[in-house]
Amino acid sequence: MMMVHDAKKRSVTFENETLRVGIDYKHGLCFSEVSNRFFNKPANLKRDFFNLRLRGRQFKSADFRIEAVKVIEDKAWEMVTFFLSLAKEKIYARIHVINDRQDKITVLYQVKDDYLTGVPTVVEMHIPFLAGLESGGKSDVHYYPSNPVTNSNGKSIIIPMREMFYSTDVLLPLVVCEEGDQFGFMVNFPVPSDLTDVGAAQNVNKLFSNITSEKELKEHWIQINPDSSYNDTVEFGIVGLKDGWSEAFERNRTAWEANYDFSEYDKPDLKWFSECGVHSFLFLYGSEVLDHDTLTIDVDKVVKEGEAFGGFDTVTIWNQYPRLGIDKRSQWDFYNDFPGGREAIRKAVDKFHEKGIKVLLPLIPWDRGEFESNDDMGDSMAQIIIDTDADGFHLDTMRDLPYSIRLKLNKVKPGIVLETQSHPLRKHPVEFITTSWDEFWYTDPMPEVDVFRFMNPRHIAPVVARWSRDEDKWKVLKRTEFGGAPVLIWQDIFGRWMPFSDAQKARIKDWKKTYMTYREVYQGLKPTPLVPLNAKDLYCNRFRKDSGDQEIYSFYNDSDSTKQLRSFSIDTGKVDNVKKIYGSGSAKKKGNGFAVSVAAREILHVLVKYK
Amino acid sequence: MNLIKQVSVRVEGTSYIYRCVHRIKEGDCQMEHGPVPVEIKPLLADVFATTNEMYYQFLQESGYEPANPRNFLKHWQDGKYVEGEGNLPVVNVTQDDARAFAAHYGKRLPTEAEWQYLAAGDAHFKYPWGNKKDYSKCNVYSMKLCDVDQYPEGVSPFGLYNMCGNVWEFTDELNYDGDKHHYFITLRGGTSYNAPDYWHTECGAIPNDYHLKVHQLGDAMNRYETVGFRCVKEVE
Repeated sequence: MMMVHDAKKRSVTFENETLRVGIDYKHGLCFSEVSNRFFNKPANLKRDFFNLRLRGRQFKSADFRIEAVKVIEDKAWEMVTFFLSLAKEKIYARIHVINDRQDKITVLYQVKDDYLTGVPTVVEMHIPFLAGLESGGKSDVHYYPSNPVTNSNGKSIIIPMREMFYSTDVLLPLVVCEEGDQFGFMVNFPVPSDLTDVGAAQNVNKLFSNITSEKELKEHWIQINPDSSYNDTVEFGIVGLKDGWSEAFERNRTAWEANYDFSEYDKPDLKWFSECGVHSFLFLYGSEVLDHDTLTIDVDKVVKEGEAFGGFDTVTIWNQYPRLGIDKRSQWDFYNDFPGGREAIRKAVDKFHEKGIKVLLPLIPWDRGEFESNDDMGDSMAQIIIDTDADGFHLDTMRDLPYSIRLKLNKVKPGIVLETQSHPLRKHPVEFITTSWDEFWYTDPMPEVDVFRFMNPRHIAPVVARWSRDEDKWKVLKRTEFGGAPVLIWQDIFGRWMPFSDAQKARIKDWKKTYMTYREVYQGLKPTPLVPLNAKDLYCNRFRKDSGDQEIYSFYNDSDSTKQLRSFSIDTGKVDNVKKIYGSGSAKKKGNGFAVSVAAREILHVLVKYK
Repeated sequence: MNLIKQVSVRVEGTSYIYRCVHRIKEGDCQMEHGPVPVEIKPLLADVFATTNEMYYQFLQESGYEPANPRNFLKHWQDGKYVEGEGNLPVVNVTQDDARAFAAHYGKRLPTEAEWQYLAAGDAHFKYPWGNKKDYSKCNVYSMKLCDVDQYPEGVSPFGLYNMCGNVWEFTDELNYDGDKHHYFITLRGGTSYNAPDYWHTECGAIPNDYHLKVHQLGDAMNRYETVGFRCVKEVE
């Protein structure tokens, strides 16, 4: 596993557990080979490290002069660094290839621009090695970072995090596998930038993570933003795979998880939220929740309404937007001016608690008075918990909350859950905002999955689509079931009544029963989205109980006729028992696996128990 | 201090094509917005919004007490408005508190269609003074109320003051949308108050043909320090 540098032949070779890599710098700088050691077929032969484009001209690595090559190693890593110059353009580069001596090599480009014209110019980079990445086998399948899996119409069905200027680190790698979806490579692009505005960032890996297609991969030209120092410009890591997409997803998730401390999710007082299957959002001004004659919260009516859905486990009582702003009364004043004041809300909360239902209150982040500090807001939140005994806050449009507020809430009552409308994107909020809505705004959500549900499965996110009509509500339910998730029932959309039908309520009731029965499987920490099936219009997610003895496969048939999967073999354990537990279709054990039949446009969940 | 006396102007009966635009916030607005023909009966219309002094006199004469007094005239002290605020529009009253005032004087609140006609006139003006927004003609974004006879250059075609800005004004309708019902009113004209955030209720110079839907939730919630009213009286 030693790195070998042959200065005469101008080559470097090294290996680790998954890769065999050769680098040739006789004429330019190219990979002579990047092969998967499990597959043992030579791959990625003679691939240039980079091309640059600037001031209307294009340069290959061979246009650069290689000034020096240094090979260094320590107790963990071995590294080769190439120093390159394009003096006439005053562009210089250091390219490092780092072998961790385990399973990964990292390629790091550091480009320096001494500003030929005195000012920063546009410099673009193309990496032929990535553009032509191949497994070494036949009929390669690519999983592009921002569009890894598509349906038969070419629509992307792994929904990325919703970014707006703020960047996320919940990203997927570039994966290429041979036709059997076993051997290939995973390339990940770490994104240190906090901004999606890549022009402001020196490390522009974000642009590689945005790649959605073969064309974009093959034709990419990434604007890099060098300055007159050797800062990180582009970086990627490569791993050889032996279990295809599933392994790549898990490796990527493991690498992402390593940057977080998820102990907040393990706190016993916060666990109650994971034990909920059906949530309810109640607009306080409507008779769904308000008795207009007595101007009280009609808990009994809400509970009765919930029975048809299998019982509401939480209710969010929403009393502010869209009414805030007519005068200067704040969200906190609204609690005081509610008929009967905070005491009346307390009585309702007490009664919900008697019925086994937890209560969330809204926190409207944008309704901050000109003199309200974070500290004041935290005090107000703590006080409303003291006054009402509520169990959590729905944080509306926030994706973040000053942590000091979390600490204030901890002091007044254990178990206060913080829920944001959108998923937290990165950093500390990912750790202490333990739930958010999986909300989407379009009308054709199947057979898609929410990437965060699979990247951070401990973060239980109820599915909600506020404006869905009858046909689309069915799709919302199928998306919920397919993704193995709880659901949020929202029927009074700020004064517009958008009810679920009786049939939909009955289905949600059924789903809740299944979800709660197998909650530990659905909430296991190693789920896999969109397991490759090689069956047109049939899609499958896999959920694994953390004990490893049970798995659930959720299927969706995205066609108008029954779909058969004659054989799905499993190599992760010895199958003891196969059982249909939910949906429309059938399942039976077959060999060390199963066969299924899934009804048209329907869901089927199959439980597999291992010996 | 000269206390403003209410003045009424006669507005002849007419018909016009009523069309109102709901200011879009989530929830929509479940009521007739037109365009529909409407008949306006002959009216005596208050030139000014009702003032603190006028409402004080009403209380003295009528002995009116709301069933739920929370927030009722909360800007007053010891049963009367603060010295120097007699000519400011009365606020912190509910639609019912306003109706009680009107009824005492044989008047009522204007309907939506009437209010819009009184503000826009026969020419369907966008603002009381014409079709171009002009902050010099109305009290907006100032964050404080002004006397009801200010901004004479901004009067409506019928000579009514401050139909844009100063205070939102109640109209007569209490709407009810059935099913999982909600009670809501609509406000007109905008206010001098300016809430700070995009998601807050829009403020500023609200056009004549826009209304703001407001869900009702008990008297304390339904009294605002930015909402007042004026009255009309049906005549032969």
